[in-house]
Amino acid sequence: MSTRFQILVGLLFTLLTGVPLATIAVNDFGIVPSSEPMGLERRAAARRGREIEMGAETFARWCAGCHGVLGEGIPQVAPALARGDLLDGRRARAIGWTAGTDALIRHTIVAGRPIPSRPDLYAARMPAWGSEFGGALGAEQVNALVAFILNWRVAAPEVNAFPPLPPTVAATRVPALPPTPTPRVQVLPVCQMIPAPYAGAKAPFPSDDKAVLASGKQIYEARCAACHGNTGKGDGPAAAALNPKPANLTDKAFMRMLPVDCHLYVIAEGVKGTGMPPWKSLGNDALWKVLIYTRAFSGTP
Amino acid sequence: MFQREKRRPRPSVRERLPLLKHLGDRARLAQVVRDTAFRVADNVTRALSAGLSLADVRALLRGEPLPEGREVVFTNAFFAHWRPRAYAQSASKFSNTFALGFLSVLTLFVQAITGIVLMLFYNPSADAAYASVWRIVAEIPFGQFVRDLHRLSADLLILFAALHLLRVYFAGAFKPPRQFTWVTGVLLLVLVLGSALTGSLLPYDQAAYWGVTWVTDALKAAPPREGIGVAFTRFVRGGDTVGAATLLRFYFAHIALLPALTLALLAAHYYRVARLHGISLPAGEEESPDPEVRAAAQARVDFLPGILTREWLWIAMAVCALTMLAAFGYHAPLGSAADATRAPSPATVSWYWLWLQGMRQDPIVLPLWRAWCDAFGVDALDWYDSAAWQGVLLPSALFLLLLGVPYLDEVWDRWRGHASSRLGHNRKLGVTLGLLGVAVFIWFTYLGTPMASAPVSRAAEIAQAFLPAECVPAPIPLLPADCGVARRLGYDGLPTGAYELEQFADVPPSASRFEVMLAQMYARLRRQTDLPDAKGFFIVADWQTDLKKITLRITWTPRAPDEVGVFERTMFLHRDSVD
Ligand code: HEC
Ligand code: HEC
Ligand code: HEM
Repeated sequence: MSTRFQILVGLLFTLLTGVPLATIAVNDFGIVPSSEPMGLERRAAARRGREIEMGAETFARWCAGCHGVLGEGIPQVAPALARGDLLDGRRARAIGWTAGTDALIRHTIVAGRPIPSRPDLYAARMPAWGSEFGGALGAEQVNALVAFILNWRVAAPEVNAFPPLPPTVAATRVPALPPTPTPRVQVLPVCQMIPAPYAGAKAPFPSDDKAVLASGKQIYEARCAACHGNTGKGDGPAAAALNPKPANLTDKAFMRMLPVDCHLYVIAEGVKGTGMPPWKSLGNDALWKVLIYTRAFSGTP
Repeated sequence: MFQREKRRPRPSVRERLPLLKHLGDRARLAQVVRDTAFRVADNVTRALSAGLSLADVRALLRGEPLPEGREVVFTNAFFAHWRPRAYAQSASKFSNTFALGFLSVLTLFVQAITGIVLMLFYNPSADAAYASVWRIVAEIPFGQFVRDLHRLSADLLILFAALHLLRVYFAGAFKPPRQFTWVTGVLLLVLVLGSALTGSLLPYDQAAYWGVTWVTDALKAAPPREGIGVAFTRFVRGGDTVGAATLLRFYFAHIALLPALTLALLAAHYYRVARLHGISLPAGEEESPDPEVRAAAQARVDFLPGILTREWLWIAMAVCALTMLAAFGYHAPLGSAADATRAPSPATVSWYWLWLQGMRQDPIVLPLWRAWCDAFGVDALDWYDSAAWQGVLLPSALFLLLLGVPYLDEVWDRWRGHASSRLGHNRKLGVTLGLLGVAVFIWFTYLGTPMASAPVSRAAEIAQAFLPAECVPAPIPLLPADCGVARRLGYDGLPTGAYELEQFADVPPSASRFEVMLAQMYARLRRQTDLPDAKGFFIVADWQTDLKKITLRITWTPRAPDEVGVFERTMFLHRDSVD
């Protein structure tokens, strides 16, 4: 090949390189108007889409147990998140938060709500999820959750998740009668006094029924594992941020101090002043199933 | 006008402004303008080419010889004297080197240039890295293009360097006196692989996080595990697991340490090739019994202009091809953000680590050892630490073996009393071993792909083909990753509803792509024999605005009392997220 030929063909290829470069420039700078989003615009939309997908996955994994699969909330456990006032900024204004809904949601997820705003409505406590507070979620997962929750904005129903406290209610609330004490020996402090429907309760299912154990496992993994860990050791991803720590359900000595009726009582009513939420709303059968499943961790009858 | 002049004395002010003198005389004025323009162009050419005047360039292009001495001026200039003044005619033929070393250098330069651009926007902190890569892709004009080029030419660099090694090996170009050149080459390859590993963590997506976790996990088995393996892994990761500390040290290695070492070694490598020994001649001509052929092979061809213009042509072609690919075909993958609590299954790694994954399956030694133990009734299985041998010791030994190839070859020749010869038929053993090595490498690579490993379960295998949690990189360089059939169909291609796969046993030819996918799933389900009475359900639900939830549920009759008999894989798909 002659020298001149090489130079010419080289120049030709150099000119040809201009074609893809020009195509990218046209797309990225939006030089030619088009009805379809192109270039940067299109990739930014793809980025948002991917983020929402990731958020949906994370939500199903960590949040649906308390907030409901579709963010519809679970009575007595946790408020709805797919709701108009949270997503359009009314909730932020109501609590005097000025940094915008996006930041309210982000900070609630990262730091949790150490002091429950309405313990009378939601006895569970919103755990701190951010890895900086010992939670399971990194910055990207939190960003994705925020994008996913905000994506409910378009079709969010009106739910009154935080109705105002009538001032009189607090004043006139009559303290519950102390339940009849049943003296016990060698039990947890909470088990000293078990109120009526629970005291002496007996399991309606045999403790070796495979089907009961299987559905107990399902409930456990959806509702409890975030705190108590998949194996019941109290080492779930939300546990790090809790004080006191979730109980270690595999500890034989501990479980012996938790008789069956008391066990039902703590699951149903939660433990006041700790992160352990009440689970009454799951229904009696579900409570027994998860109870039987968790007692099997330590082999305590 | 084209006359070679002697160096002129410094012009006076009056001479520098000749226009002033000739404002009245138009012909003279034109002459002066032309002269001045020529002088400026000439000076610029001299400056850029380090000594060649315009007249010299013209002479070169016409194939006229340069006057005595001009070449020396040129080749002693700073940039130009990196290159040899002349090559051996026979060695400069394309078929002698296939330009593989040249292409390695070219892709290395592309890496340097695109890497510097990426560095301006990349943020090496665990909280911000992934977002900063998305910012490059989705907010910076030409950002995705530069990132694609960087990933594309990284893959090509490894490919070219590996092929270059094979070329050198089979051509016997490592034989004396070029042994140490080979050693610097092997070290360069290791540095390039190190750059690939450290660079692969930087996007901090699932593939990055778990790929690096997987590769560095191998180090843990270095014996003694407690003393060295774990400590060394901690040193590499900056902690027990891959995390922010790993990202920072990999970033440092990727942008400073490894490039500096690579540059230094490349200088040594190239110095030895270009200045010390020259590129070796084709073996057949170098060792020809015919003295005329030998003499002809030594004929010289000047670097200027032929070699330079040829390289210019190659560069123009390669850059054009890279640009076309990055603009229209190839996109560097970016998966979901790294999540330390969720390992993708099956683990996937880039094509150039597959051989290592294959080795760790221990397809040769473990079965032999087991057979030996059985045959002699010895209970010695525990003595053999498969992870240590296959993950660390053997690869290290292979690396040392590769370094020592030229020296072992020399010892072998001396022992057999051969004269050193590069001709294939004089080194049958070497060529055979080389071919065997390539075959074993390809076999290991195959064993390392997910295709070759037993799936966790049939149901998971089907889910992986249609709804993988992460895109699966192709085992062959430059092929796009496989993100599953459902994602390819896209948001609009997946109509909402619950579908029982059985109903799609035979679909008419007019069926939509969606129905064809259901039929394929059903066919896979029917073909497998592990799950009794397997039934499949495919559910597409509207989940949120522009977001669908896609579920594949496979049920079967439990084969053991503690088996559940249900497998479920879900995936979320947003309208905008395709591609
Ligand atoms: C243990 C149950 C529980 C889990 C698990 C849980 N939350 Fe909460 N969450 C709550 C409770 C209770 C509240 C109400 C807190 C309050 O206002 O005191 C709450 C409040 C919130 C709020 C603020 C709502 C408002 O209107 O002020 C957001 C946002 C939120 N959670 C998001 C999440 C996300 C995202 C996850 C998953 C990573 C999650 N939550 C997991 C119990 C939970
Ligand atoms: C938000 C975190 C959280 C969730 C979700 C949660 N727990 Fe707990 N749980 C705790 C904490 C914290 C304690 C420790 C309370 C204490 O120290 O008294 C605890 C304690 C317990 C105890 C022992 C009672 C005691 O006094 O220590 C049982 C039994 C228990 N949980 C069962 C469950 C079951 C069953 C579920 C699911 C239905 C569940 N928990 C869900 C946080 C949680
Ligand atoms: C980053 C990687 C590498 C670069 C950039 C590089 C570059 C080059 C270049 C430009 C040449 C000139 C001849 C040619 O084009 O073939 C060359 C020759 C050579 N290279 Fe490399 N090389 C690399 C890796 C390797 C490896 C992995 C080996 C072998 C282990 C190796 C061994 C050699 C030898 C022995 C020569 C001399 C060949 C001869 O004289 O014919 N190099 N290299």
